[in-house]
Amino acid sequence: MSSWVNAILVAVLLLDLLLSVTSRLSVLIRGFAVQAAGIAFLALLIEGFDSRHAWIVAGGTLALKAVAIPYFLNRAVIRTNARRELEPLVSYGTSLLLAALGVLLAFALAARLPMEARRAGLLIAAAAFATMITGLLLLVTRTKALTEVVGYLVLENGIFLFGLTLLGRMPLLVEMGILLDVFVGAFVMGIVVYNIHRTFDHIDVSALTTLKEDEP
Amino acid sequence: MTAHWWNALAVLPALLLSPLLLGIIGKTKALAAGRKGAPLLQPYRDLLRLLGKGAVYGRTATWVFRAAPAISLAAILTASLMLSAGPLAAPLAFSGDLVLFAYLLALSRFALIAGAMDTGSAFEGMGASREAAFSAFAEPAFFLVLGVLAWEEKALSLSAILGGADVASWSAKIPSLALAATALFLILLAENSRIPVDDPATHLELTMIHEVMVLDHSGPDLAFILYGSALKLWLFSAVLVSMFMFSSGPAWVSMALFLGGMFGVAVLVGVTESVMARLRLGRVPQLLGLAAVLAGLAALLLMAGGRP
Repeated sequence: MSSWVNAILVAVLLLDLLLSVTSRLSVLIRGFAVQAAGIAFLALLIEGFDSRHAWIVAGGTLALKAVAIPYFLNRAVIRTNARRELEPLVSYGTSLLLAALGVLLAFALAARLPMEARRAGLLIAAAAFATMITGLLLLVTRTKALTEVVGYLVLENGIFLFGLTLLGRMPLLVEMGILLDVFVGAFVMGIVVYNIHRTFDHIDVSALTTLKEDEP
Repeated sequence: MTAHWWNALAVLPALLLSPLLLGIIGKTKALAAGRKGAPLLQPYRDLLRLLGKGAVYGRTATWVFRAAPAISLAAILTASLMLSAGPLAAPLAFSGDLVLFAYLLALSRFALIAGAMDTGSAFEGMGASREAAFSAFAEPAFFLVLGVLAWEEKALSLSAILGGADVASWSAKIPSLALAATALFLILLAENSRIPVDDPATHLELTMIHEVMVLDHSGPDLAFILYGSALKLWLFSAVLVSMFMFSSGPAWVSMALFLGGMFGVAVLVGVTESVMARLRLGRVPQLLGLAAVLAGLAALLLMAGGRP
């Protein structure tokens, strides 16, 4: 069982790297969805298949983060006609290096955690930190509004993963609340992105700093 | 690792079967494209035909150009002595031979680059500079992979770090091993000028890398180069397959697994070439950077695995 957990965690780390280098929004969204599905399965593996609590959390995560949110995001991609992130603030090569550095940093951080915080193993804490750092990287270095939404969601994936290491049993109500927040957040962002697109004909957030319309 | 006379047999599969790998790649690509394709043994026929021809030398070419194919092939042949083939142990093994292995391959490439520069043709100089640039990117990634393997087995000899897998430690190692194998596969594609990096079948000099470098060679010289690149492909595939070989089991099973793995790698290369387009030149360093990052991640996992 532990080797399954490790395999999924390595897949999560690899997906972090993929998310940090891809320029296609559809790959980005699919990568996020697969990562969320893997983390949902991980929750089941860690808590055990006979726990009802684990089934609800995993099922909720799977339904919302791996199915519903990617569906809405894909619709937003089609409606705004923005398939690629063309002008990231940092080039994709640098961004891969930064993500790799992030993974290093994550391992260093995870090794410094107190023992009880990494009860479930060093790798899972490291994967959680790496996923959070990747999410941050996406948030900071990309200019398309949709990519930033995905960055936020990836960040949340990392937090969920960290919750698994830290608590093992987060209260059900809290987890459901977080999931609902994320879902509503993604839903609202989808609508906002569409409206930005309708008003400005693009979804480049760096242009949002100009307040007046007639200024370039 | 005791020295027996039959250890010398370990190079035989490489010597005899390496052109077959090219045949398998070609056949896979043809089948994927819905064509019938050249017969599997076509590379052997090409080699024989070229060996029967005479060589033509340009007026600007000096002895460097004439020596390049022979030096290149000799370096690769020496490197092939250090790899075991399934149950057959490598004829040459000592601590630190993995560095020699990597730099013998580099020597072979250097000979070809020097030969290409010697022709005085602009195209060949361009190919040579590209080949040199990409190999510079591939080298750190290759050493990271070798480092991961060496760390895992606590040894510095190729025969010791390859093929020593046992069932007990298998599941603990598999994440880092799989990452290192993926990285090595990317390096294999780059070092052997396969598709995402270079297109061996292209006819446009401007887009070639390895092929443009050997444009001026003809006859037996070209045969040496073709045979050398087939051998090099075999060597990289052998490292890749040997990473996963078990040390126990009867000899014929191990041999069958090894050869099956080699042909599997060839099919995998063929499939990769069928589903991917060649990358833009500027993106190749990114691909090799990815290989280095994957290998680095494998090393990281290995180090983390030792901790509580």
